[in-house]
Amino acid sequence: MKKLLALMLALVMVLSLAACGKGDGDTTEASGDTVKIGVLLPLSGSTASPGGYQLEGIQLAVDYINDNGGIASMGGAKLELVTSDTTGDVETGMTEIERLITVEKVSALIGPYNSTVGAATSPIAIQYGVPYIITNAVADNIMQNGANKYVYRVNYGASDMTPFRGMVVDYLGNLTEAGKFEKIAIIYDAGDWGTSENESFKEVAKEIGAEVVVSEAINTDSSDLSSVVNKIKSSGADVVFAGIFLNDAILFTQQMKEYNCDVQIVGSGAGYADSKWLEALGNTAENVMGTSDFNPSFGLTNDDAAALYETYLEEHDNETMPLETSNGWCGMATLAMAIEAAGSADREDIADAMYNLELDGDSLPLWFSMFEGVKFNTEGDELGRYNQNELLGDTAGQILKQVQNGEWQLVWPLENATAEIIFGK
Amino acid sequence: MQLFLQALLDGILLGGIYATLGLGLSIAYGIMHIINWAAGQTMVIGLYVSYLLITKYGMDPYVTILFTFTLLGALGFVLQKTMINRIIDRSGDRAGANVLLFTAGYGYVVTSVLEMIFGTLSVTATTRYTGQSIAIGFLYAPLPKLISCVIAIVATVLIYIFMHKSELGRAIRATSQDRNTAQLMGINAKLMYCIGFALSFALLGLTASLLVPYYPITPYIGISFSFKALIIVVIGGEGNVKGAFAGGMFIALTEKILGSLVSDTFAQIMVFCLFIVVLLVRPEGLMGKRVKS
Repeated sequence: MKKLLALMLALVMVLSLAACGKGDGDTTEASGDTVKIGVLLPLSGSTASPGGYQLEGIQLAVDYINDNGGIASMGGAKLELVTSDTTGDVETGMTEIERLITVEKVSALIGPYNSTVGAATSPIAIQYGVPYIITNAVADNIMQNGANKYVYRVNYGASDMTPFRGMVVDYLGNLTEAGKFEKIAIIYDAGDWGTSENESFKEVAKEIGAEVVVSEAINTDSSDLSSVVNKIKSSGADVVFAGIFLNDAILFTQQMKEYNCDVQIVGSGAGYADSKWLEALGNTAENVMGTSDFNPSFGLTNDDAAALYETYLEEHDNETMPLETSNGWCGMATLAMAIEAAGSADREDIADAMYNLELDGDSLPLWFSMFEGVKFNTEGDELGRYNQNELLGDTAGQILKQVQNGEWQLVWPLENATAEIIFGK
Repeated sequence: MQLFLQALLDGILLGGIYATLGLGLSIAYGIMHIINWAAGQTMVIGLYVSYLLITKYGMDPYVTILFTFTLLGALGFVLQKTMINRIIDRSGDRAGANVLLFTAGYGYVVTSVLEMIFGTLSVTATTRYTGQSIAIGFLYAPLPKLISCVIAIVATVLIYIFMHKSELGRAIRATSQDRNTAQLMGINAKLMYCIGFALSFALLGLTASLLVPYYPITPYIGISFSFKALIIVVIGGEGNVKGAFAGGMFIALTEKILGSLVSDTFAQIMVFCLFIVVLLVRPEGLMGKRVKS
């Protein structure tokens, strides 16, 4: 009797060990009908506003895909998001990505908006072998981890915007009396993103032979930018490019007006692209320009996209879609297409599918963007970046907007313009 | 030249605010030898109160002073009476450390509560003064900063008169110099502490109302203000009005002038360096009295 009992206990132990062993060895969890996607975004802190917009874009894509049959190649499996708040902080981001990978056992990751967090977390994704779609987070160093098949970026990187910036600088320069800009001022956020912006604008200035008279880094959420405004005013700059976040964008624009500094402001995405910026400033925002991603409100060519956008506008009080939302949609839909191609929730399969992915300009991820297609530069580019989308087009899907009569108007590229630019003599 | 003069003007305008901020911390420290580690967070309460009054009731930001002054004053009084006095009684020698820890914890609570109520996004009050400035020759003084500075200086003068010329003020100062002797003279030391702390909080409320017209608010900005206040008090000299004023002006001018001539980052570094130098060389601050141990 004892022997039988011992034998049965041994059998139970062996069977439970076998069950455990299978679990630990696996890289993913596709619990039957869902594919778990880990989302890393700042949902609190100084970049909570764009973080929230980006999450909306990701959720929009997930909802659309789930409502339209889910992942067909997996029998209609649904996408499930596991969100975590990085607060925009590097340490938190690193803890959270580890948690999503090892505890939540997600099949893939998407995020993190902040360049600093992106730079810190991309090596971790590579280390664990988890596909990671970078949304926003444009600093180039995020993609400079050497050849790998795990970290991808569908939207532009900082240097992808340099040619566009060159075009804008040329165009605006032509409208001045001198026919080109002689002196350029730059104000930028002290983090990775802002620093990339600064480098990019400095390069553009060099190309046109303009002098960079002010290049000032500011801390996010500065309390007072009057010193910078003062400097810009005395510098004789023709234009000031501002790569700063929302709060600083508001403060800076306000103070430029207060100190009666009429140097043209050209914001660079981020703070200047946020609708809250325009709300906060009212009249003070008049004639300020900003570069931004193409906004669906300026016209969509795809009917399905237009229909979805109508619904989006209704649910958002007619607030135009922020660029972070369209980039969130773009990244998530691309990931979904890779999962579809892979036909599995396995991390390696998805990574391989992303590696070989090729989409054209009408594909789902690009509904709200102006990129030309999706194909990742897996061989690496001249900057040593791997897996950056190389089908962004010359303008990297960017446009130049200007506030006229309290509303944003698209002023460049001219063929898409909704109003004439107000600048120059 | 224009650069320097504008920076000088900016420094003076900022100095007034720094003076009242510093006073808010200084009074508590000077009277009760309590460092309110959460001076900044307390001010943020004032910022939100003022912001609400402006946006919900269309109140003029400077009228909100009445509310922030009294509300925060009341809060300070209650905190002192119900909690801090008790801590002091029970801690004996370690009172200073314990109260510091208390205020640190309180600061944390304040930040979290504000975050819960108001969320994490930044808000800015738009008032009739927003975006306007007065031209003084070729210099510009943003209107809200100008008005705030004037009110701050007036408030500083009033506090000085109160502390030095009024009975109550003298009683408070007596308590700070020697608590036991003051009690022997018939002064209710505990009550003086409550009034002192209330006044300290009230000043922080005043400072908040002065900042609201041009300052973006989040629940997290308290910490940098706490630091700023501490630096002002150390450099200026704690416990006295002249010190807070001198400290506030000095720091503000340093920040603005160095900020415009070099950069804001450099200015901040210099301020910290000054802080350390003053601690080493003249720990009682510019206007403080040397304490004989």
